Parts: sequence; C-alpha cells; structure tokens
Amino acid sequence: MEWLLVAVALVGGALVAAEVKLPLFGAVSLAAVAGVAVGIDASPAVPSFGTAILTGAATLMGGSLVVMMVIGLTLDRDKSWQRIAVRVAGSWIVAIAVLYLAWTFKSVA
Amino acid sequence: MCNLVRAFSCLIFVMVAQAAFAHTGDGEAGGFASGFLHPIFGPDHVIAMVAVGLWGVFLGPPAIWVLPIVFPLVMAFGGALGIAGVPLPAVETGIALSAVVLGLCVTFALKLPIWFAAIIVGVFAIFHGHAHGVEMPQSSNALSFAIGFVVATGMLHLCGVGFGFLARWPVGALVVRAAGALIAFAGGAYLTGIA
Repeated sequence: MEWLLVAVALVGGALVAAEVKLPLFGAVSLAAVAGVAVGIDASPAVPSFGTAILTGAATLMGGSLVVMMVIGLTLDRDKSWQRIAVRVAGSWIVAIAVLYLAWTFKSVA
Repeated sequence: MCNLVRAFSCLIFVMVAQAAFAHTGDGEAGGFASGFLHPIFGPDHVIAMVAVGLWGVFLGPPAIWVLPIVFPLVMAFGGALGIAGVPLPAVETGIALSAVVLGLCVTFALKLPIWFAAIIVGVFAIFHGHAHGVEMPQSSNALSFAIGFVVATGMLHLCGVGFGFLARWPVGALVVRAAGALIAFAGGAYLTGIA
C-alpha cells in the first residue's frame, strides 16, 4: 500500500504548492486516507496480538509526533521566505511522488 | 616479547580482515546516494539547473521561487515519461540547448513575463527529466532515488539563486551575467559535440 501513501502525498503536496485551502471535511478525509495507508504499511510482518499492539502504539505515537512537528514548523511562518519554503517543499513532494508512482506502475505492468 | 606478540597478532588480524558489509550502498542508502549524485555528476544538467536559479534572480519575485518550483515538477513529469519508456526525440540536444538558452537569458538579463519564462523552463525540464528517468538504475530503491534526485535538483537551483544574489551589486551583476555567458558557452560546446 506504499503507492496509496505516495498518492496521498502527491495530492497533499500539490495542495501545499498551489496554496489551496481545503474545506475541513476535505482535509480530514485526506488525513484519514493517509493515516489508513500508514497503518497498513506499518503492519507487523509476523502477526500476533502482542506485536500488533506494540506496532500499533508505536505507529500512532510516531505518526502523531511527526504530524504535530510538521504542523508546528509550518504554522510558525512569520517571514515571507518561510511561506515560500513550505510551497517549495510541497512541489518537491509532488515531484518525488510522480517519479515513484511512475516507477511503481512500470514495475507492475 | 609480550608486546611484540600483541603487535604481530594485531597485524595479522588487520591483514586477514575482510571488508565490512554493513553499509554496502545497496537499498535505501544506495537509492538516495544514486539519486542525489545523478544530476550532480552530469555537468550539462548542473549548468542548466544553476542557470534557472540565476535567471530567477534577474526576473525577481515571484519568478525567483516559481521557476525552481516549475522545473522539478515538470522534470518529474519528464522522468515519468522516461521511466515508462515513452520515446522523446533529441533529448541530449534539448539538454544542451537548455544551457545555451538559459545561459543567454542570464547573460542579457532578459525580463520576460513569468508565464513565458515558466514555459521555457518547463519545456527544457522535460528533456532533463526524461534523460534521468531512462537512466534510473533498476536495483535502487525507487522512493529513495526519487527523494535524492529531487533534493539534488532543488539544491542546484538554490545554488543558482544564492550566487545570483550577487546581482544586487553592480559588479556582482556583471559577474552573474558573465557566469550566464559561461553557461551558454558550455551548452554550445555540448550542442556542437566539442564537450
């Protein structure tokens, strides 16, 4: 399901680069799809109740921390170049996602 | 005597030791390094990407950051075409021509409308991306390669923008324009097959 995660990154990166503000419902839906994709991608190789709990907790904590840190960094943009840097980062994410998806679909085909 | 035995033992252990294979450069690390070095080890790519940054400075805001956004985006599209095996004619000519055109734009400090500048940069970016997409190594981790590749491209633009800020001063502007001429000259050398 790595492709789904990258596809969400592509959409999110494009929105950031274009500085489009989604309605709350759209943003929550995108975040939910990203969360599900991360969860599926982080599923333990050897399924058991103990490892599932541990992996789930680690993914939840790690994912939440990363998201909060990125939100914090993004909100703290009092200078114009910081706003531009965020948009540039969004465009780079789109470029990476396009290359990765092309590679993945070529491998599947 | 004891020290001699220790020294000898160390020497023997050093001589018979095999290379460590903890970090062979394969997988994630190899993918990022390979992607990062891919644009940097191609001088024709480097000069064109630096020229994009230099020209952005002469065009001023918002071109200074729009062009370095447009280039990686369209380049990724060209890369996707290359990965998919879609043929593109005269790729190397397009790359060399990009250095000539962008170098001349810097040399003459050409002030074009931003949409027109973005089209010029975007068209050339397709050639650069296609060349990299075709040459993308099969064994590398695709995501790591893509991250390294895009980050290196962005860094080259930033180098151009950083160097271009010299143009704030009259002497600096001359230096930047001379750099543009040098880029155009190098592009001409690639175009004619001299380099």
